[in-house]
Amino acid sequence: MLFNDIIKPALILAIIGFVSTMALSHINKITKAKIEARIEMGKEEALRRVLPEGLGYRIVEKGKKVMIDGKEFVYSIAEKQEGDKKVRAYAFETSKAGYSGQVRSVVSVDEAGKIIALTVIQQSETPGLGARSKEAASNETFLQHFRNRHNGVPVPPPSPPWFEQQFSGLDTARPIAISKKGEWRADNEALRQGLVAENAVSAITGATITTRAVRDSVEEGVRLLRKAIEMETPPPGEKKK
Amino acid sequence: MKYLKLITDGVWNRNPILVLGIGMCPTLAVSTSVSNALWMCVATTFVLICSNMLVSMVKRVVAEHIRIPIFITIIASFVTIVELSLKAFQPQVDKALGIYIPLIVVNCIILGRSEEFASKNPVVDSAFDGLGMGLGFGFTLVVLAFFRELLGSNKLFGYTLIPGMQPSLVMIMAPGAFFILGFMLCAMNWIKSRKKG
Repeated sequence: MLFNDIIKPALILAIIGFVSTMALSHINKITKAKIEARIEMGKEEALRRVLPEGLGYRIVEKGKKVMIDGKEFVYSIAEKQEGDKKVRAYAFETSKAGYSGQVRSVVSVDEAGKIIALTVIQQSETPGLGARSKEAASNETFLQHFRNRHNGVPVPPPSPPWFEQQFSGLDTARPIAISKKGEWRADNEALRQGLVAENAVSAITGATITTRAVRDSVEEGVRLLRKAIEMETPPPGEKKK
Repeated sequence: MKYLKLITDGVWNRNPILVLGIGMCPTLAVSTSVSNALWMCVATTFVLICSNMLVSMVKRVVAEHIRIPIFITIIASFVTIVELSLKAFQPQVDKALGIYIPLIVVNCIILGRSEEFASKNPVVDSAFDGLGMGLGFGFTLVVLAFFRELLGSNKLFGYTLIPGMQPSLVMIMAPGAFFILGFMLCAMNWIKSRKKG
């Protein structure tokens, strides 16, 4: 009675738990290195994307960590020679809660506080809505895709997601607005001009919360970055560059 | 013949979404694009086949009152395997499907089939039932996603169809999924009733 009702089921549960843990730890061992490498690669890739080589910036300090308001803030410093003085740019990682979970992005800003580029590195937003923050608009239509492949035209390289692109050139010293007058696409130059003039990004349709999360995370990141720079600048009296 | 029937049962006669009416959450969530639907189909079918087989193997030693935790442990193990493998080898897919991969654990199709079928039938039958149900789920998902992607975002496999056309947003949201699902049910029942008559 005691054996059949309590001990046997408990033993079976234990055995199944044990076997499944064994199997999973084995799988974890196989995939762990790969997953970590991917994350690391993703970070490198994100840094390369927000500070592209074409701009001439050279990374002088990577992954600098500081504690601000009890939060860890990680940023990298890049420099480039412009005339006879050195110009700096900063890249940092930042996140805010979106519709489901944190939306993390890597952002780069120049000394004046203008966003150079932004890339979302992690999100778990609703597929088809917030997840479209990573949507790369293909320049080909479905028909063109087949026609071009048929005629031997090579596949065009993927352009960065349109949502990320529109952050480039915005001024973080001023508040960034969210415009709901339709999504901006790479070919819509008129809308782009209007957005830049308003210092705004166009919201992803149906995913204003995601858009707002990215915008807020940028603003918070810049605020923390300012503090971090203040902390590292030599105390007054010494000559600032 | 028996195995073929198990598969056609899963896809048509006892289609999990259209006939049994289970597994609605992932259906609504990942049927926004065809490629998402295809990957979800692969992941779910894999978990279904494996968990059905394992449940069928252990059914004799598992006492009635502890079967649910045991089934869930088995399902969760396979889902974790899928999740880790996708993260390691298909990071793009993992990014696109996000939370819905770990949520396969609570997909009621899988627990439902363990409980309904695998715990009462032999291993091979259970494997084919898993395959049939997985394909039925995937088939419905792909058809649903085809129309939702077409109408809701003016795209197919991520390629724009008609440049400059504003798609109807409602199709990408949950109500759109229900509309299409309704039409699919209608079409299915129409075909079935014609066969009878």
